Amino acid sequence: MAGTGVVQLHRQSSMEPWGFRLQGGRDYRQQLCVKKVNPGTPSAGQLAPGDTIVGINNANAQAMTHMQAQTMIKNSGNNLALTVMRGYGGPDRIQSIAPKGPVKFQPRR
Amino acid sequence: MEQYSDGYMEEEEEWDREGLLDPAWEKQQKKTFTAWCNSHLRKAGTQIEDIENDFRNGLKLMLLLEVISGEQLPKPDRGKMRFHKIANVNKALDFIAGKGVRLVSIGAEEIVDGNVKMTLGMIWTIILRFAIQDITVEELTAKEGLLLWCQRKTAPYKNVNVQNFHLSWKDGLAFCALIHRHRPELIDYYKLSRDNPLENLNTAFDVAEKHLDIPRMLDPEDMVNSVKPDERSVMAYVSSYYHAFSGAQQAETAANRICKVLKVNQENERLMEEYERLASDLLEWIKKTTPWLENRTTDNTLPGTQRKLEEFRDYRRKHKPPKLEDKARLENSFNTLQTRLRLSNRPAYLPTEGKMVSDIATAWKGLELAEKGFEEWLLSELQRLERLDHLAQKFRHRCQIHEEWAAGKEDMLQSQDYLRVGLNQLKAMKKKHEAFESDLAAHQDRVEQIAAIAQELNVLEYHDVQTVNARCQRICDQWDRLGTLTTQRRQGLEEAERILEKIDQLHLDFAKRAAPFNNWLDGAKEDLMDIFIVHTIEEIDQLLHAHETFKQTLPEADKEFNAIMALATEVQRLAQSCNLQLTENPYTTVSPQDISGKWSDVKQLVPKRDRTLQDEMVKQQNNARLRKQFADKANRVGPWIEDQLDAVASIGVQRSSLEEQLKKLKQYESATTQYKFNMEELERYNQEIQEAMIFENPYTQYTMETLRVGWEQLLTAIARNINEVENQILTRDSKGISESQMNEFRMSFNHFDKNKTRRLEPKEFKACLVSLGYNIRDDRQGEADFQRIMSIVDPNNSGYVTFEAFLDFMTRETADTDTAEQVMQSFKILAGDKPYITAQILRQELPPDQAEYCIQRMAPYSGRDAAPGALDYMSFSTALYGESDL
Repeated sequence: MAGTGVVQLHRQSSMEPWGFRLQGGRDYRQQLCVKKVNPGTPSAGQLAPGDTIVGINNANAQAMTHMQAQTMIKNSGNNLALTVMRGYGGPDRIQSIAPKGPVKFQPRR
Repeated sequence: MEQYSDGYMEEEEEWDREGLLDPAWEKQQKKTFTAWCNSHLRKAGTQIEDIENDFRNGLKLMLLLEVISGEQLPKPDRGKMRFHKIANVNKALDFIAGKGVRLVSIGAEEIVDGNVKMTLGMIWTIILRFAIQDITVEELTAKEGLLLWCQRKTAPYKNVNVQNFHLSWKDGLAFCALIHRHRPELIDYYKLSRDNPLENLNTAFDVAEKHLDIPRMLDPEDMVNSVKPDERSVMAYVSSYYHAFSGAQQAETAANRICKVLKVNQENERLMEEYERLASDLLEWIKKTTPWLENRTTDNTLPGTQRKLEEFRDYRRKHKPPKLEDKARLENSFNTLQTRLRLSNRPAYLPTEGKMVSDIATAWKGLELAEKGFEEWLLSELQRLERLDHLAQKFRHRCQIHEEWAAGKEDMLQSQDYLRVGLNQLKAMKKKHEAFESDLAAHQDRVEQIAAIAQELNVLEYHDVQTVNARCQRICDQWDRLGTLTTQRRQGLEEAERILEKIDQLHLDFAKRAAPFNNWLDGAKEDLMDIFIVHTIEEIDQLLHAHETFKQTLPEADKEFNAIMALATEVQRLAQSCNLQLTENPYTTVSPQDISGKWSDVKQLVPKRDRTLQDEMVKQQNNARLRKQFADKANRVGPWIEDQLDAVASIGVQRSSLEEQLKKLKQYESATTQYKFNMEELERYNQEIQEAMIFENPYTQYTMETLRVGWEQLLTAIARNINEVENQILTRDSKGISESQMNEFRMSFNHFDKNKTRRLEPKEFKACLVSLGYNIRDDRQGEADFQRIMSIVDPNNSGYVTFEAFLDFMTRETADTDTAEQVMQSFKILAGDKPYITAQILRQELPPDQAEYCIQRMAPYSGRDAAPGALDYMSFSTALYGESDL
C-alpha cells in the first residue's frame, strides 16, 4: 500500500556493505530510489526495489545529489535510518500500466 | 569402465570390452596423462613422476581434484594403512561421482594396488569431466564440440584437415595451425611443410610450452612412429590448447565490450564539454552585446550617430548570424546528446547551472528584446539631428542678416550730427530717424524669430547650444540698447527742431517709395535664399508652386523699380539743370544704387532658385524610385518567407515517412540557401535608402527589420526540423519501429499538439498517453505514475515533451537490461575472477585511451583481499549508469 515509513538498518561493522544499490539523485533529475537488494545482507527483507528514499537519518533527502546521498549513507556508522516511500511501484510500475501489443490511437478514450 | 549419460564415446567401448590396451597407446597415455596431471598439480606446488604409483595413497589424487575443480574435498585420512588409502581414493571417486559421472568398474582397491589400466581409465574420466565436457560449440558436446572447434580454427589452412583425434595430427601441421591462428607472431607457418612431421611437431610443442604455458604431453617420435596415435592422449593435449586460447578469446570479448561502453561515455563526455564550451561562449557574447544594444544614448552629433548605425549594420550582418548558427547548433547538439544518452541507457545530461537550453533561450530573448527598435531609434535620432542641423543653419543665416543690418547702428544713433546741420537737413534727419524707427519696428519680428529659433534649438537639445545662446543673447542685448538709443536720439532731434525749420522736399517721393520697395527686396532675397528640407515630391511641388507665384509678381515689381529709378533720375536731372551741389537724399538711407544692386541680386537669385528646386525635385524622384525598388523586392521576399515558414511547419503534420520529410526539409534548406541573394539584395537597397536619409516607405508594410527576423526564423525552423527528424530516424532505426507504428505515434502526438508548437504540455501529454491505452488513473497513484513518466521524458524539467522524447518513451525496451552488470562481468573476466583489477591488466587488455580513462576514474579497491594498486571496477561500472552499491 502507498505510504511512507522509516526503515532501520543495522550492520556488524562499517566494512560490511548495506547490500542495496542506490539510483538517481537531484543531479539525475530522478528521485533517489533503491535499484536492487542483495540477499543475505542487512537490507534484505527491509528494502525493496522501487522504494523511493525521501529521508536519510532524519535529513530530508529529496534535494540531495547522488554523491551527497551516497556519502551520507556510507558515513552512517552501523545504524542507518531510511525514510522510504513505497507502494507507487518500482521501475517496472510504468511497464504495468503501458498498453499491451502495438499501440492504437483512439482520441476518445 | 566408465559410461557417460550423453553416450558420445560409443565407438571406444569395443576395445575396452576386450580388456586390452595397445602397449604403444598405454605408453603414450602414461606420458601424456602424467604431463596433464602435472600441469595442474604445479599450481599446488607438487607433481607426480610415476602415474601408477603416485596416486595410490589417494592424497595427490584428492589434491588434483581440488586444483582442477576449485572446490574443497573432505579432509583426507592421514594414516598409512591400506584402509586409509582406500578411504582417500574413495573420497576422490565419490567427488567425481558427485559431479554427475557414473563410474562403472573402477574400484578403489585396484587404484591402491597400482592397476595401470584402471588408473589411466580414472584419469581419463577426470580429463573428460573437467577439461572436455564443458566445451560446447553450437549445442554439440565434448568430443564433437572440441572437433568442431579445431575444424573452425584450422579452416583457413589448406593443408590441414582435422577429421579425428589421431591420424589428422600426425604431421604436426594441425598443432602449428592452431597456434598460428591465435598467435601468428609465434610461428612462421608458411615456411612449414608436411614432409617434415618431426620438425613441425617439435616446433608446435616447443612454442606451446614456452609461450602458451602448455607443458609437453606428447612425444614427437611416438606420434610419427605409431601407426595410429592414441586418441585420448591427443584429445587431452588438444583440450589444453582450447583452454589456453578460449580464455584469451573470452578476455578479448570482455575487453571489446568495455571498450564499446567506454567509447560511448567518452564521446558523450566530449559532447557535454562541447556543449558547455559553446554555451559559455554564446552566453558571454550575449552578455557583452546586450548592454550595447540597450544603451540608447548618442553623442548628439550626426557623424557620431551615423557611426553607430554603421556598427549596428555590422552587428546584424557579420556578428549576429554566426551566433544564431551557434545557438541552433547548441540546441541541436543538446538534443542529439540526450538521444544518444537515452539510446545507450545512460542518465540524462544536466548542464551546469545557468547553461540550460532554457537559460540560453532566455538570454537570447533578452538580446532580441534589446535589439528590437534599436535601429528605428537610431534612424529617428538621425532624423532629429538632421532637422536640428538645418535649424541651426537657419539660425546662423538669420543672425548674419540681422547683424549686417545692425552693424554701425549704435554709432549712428550716438553721433550728434544733427547739431552741425541746417534746418532742412535736420528735418531730413528727423524724418530719417522716423524711418529708422519704423525700420526698427519692422526688425522686431526678425529678432523675435531668431530668439524663437534659439529657443527651439534649446528645446531640441542641439549639441552646440552654448554658441547659439551667446549669439542670441548678444543680439537681444544690442536690440535693447538700440531701443534706448533711438528714444534718446528722437528726443535730441525734437529738441533741435524747435530751432531749425526748413526741410527739403525734393527727395521725399523717392524716399517714400524706395523704403517699402527696399524692404520688399530684402524679403525677396531672404526668401530666395531660404534653406529648406523636404521629404516628399509633394513638398517640393509646393515649394515650386510658391516660387512660380512669386515669379508672377516680378513684372509688377519691375514697374515699381522703374518708377523709383525714374524719381532718382529726375533728381539728378533737376540738380544738373540747376547746377546744384547735390547732397545725399536726407529722407532715406536707401540709395538708388542699393535698389538697383538688390534688384539685380533678386533677378540673379530667381534662376538660381529655379535650379535648386529642380535639383531637389530630381532628388525626391530618385528617393521615390529607391522606395519603390525596396518595396517591390520586399513585397516579393516577405510572402516567400511566410510561405516557406508555413510549408516547413506543416511537414511534421503530414503523414509522410521520415525520409520523405527529411528530403523535403533538405529541399527547403537548399531553396533557402539559394534564395539568400535576395536578402542580400534587399540589404543593399535598404542601405541605399538609409544613406539617402529616407525614413518612411508608403509602398510596403515590410521593413528590413521584420524581413530579417522572418528570415532568421526560417533558417532556425529548417535547421531545427532537420535535427528533429534525424533524431527520430536515429531512434526509429535503432529500435526497429515500423512505419505504421510511427504513424500512430505521430497522429496521436499531432492530435494533442493543439497550438502546433511541436511539443506537448504535461496535461496534453497525459491525455495523449491515455488515448494510446496507458492506464493512468485519476487518483494519487495515477499522479505518481505520471510524475515518474515525466521524469523520464523531461529529465531537464523544461515543462514540455518533444515528439522525440515521446517517441523514445513509447518504444523503450521492455526488458530493463542491466548493463551495469554486463560491464562489471566483463571487468571480472579481465581481472581473472578477482573483485579488483590492476592498472597493469587494464593497460594490457584495453587500448591506451580507454585504459587511462579507467585508471583515472577508478577508486582504489578497499576490500580485505586487496593487492597493492588494486582498483575498484565495481563502483566504476555502476557509476557509469548513475548507480552505486552501498
